[in-house]
Amino acid sequence: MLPTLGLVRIGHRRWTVPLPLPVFLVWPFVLLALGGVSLSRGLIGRREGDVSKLAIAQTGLLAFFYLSGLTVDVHAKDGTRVLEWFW
Amino acid sequence: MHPERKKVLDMLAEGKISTEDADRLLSKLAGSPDTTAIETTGAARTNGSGSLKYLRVVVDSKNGDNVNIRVPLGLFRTGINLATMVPRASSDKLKENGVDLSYLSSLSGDALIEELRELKVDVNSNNGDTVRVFCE
Repeated sequence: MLPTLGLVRIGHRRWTVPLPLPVFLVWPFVLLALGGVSLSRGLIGRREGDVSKLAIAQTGLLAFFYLSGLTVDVHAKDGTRVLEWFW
Repeated sequence: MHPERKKVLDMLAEGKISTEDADRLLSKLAGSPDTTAIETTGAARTNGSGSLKYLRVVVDSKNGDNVNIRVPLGLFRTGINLATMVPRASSDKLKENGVDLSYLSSLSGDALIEELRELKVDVNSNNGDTVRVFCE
């Protein structure tokens, strides 16, 4: 599922500053790029070289679809804290 | 207070688990009073339906650095796809050394998840650092 929102919280163990990321704004670009890459792969065919780069690009773009649910929570020993969520 | 709840609260106080983890654990304990033990700080390895959704990486450093990452397995699968795009010459070299990447590409999505079901990595270093990798 495409992630709609991201949230990054940066700060200290007891307080963090929330930075919302409107991920849905990049949906059109990702979908457009994915369509372009898929079309290119279809047109060029399955040759070595450029095709594998397109395949990597396609896989990278597809990874965007699975970002929903990704969370990262990092506490540093000096109290710094960074959290990141994707919904 | 139930010992399980106390254990969760102690882990939260020690910074071993995040508030979200503690909330989830306490909710599970409240929902299932028959629960007798919590296996690890990761606690519930599977959700109610038994299907795996996330790969968890938890690093607890004795000096206070803690990392808690939850990666959706779908994203993990995409990474596997990327791994199978290694150039043929490189994959042949790897195969000579006993690493067969074609096995990865032969796994379907569900088969991969099943392979990961038993994944459990617990590393405890001498200096007290711990690394845990598991699926939930």
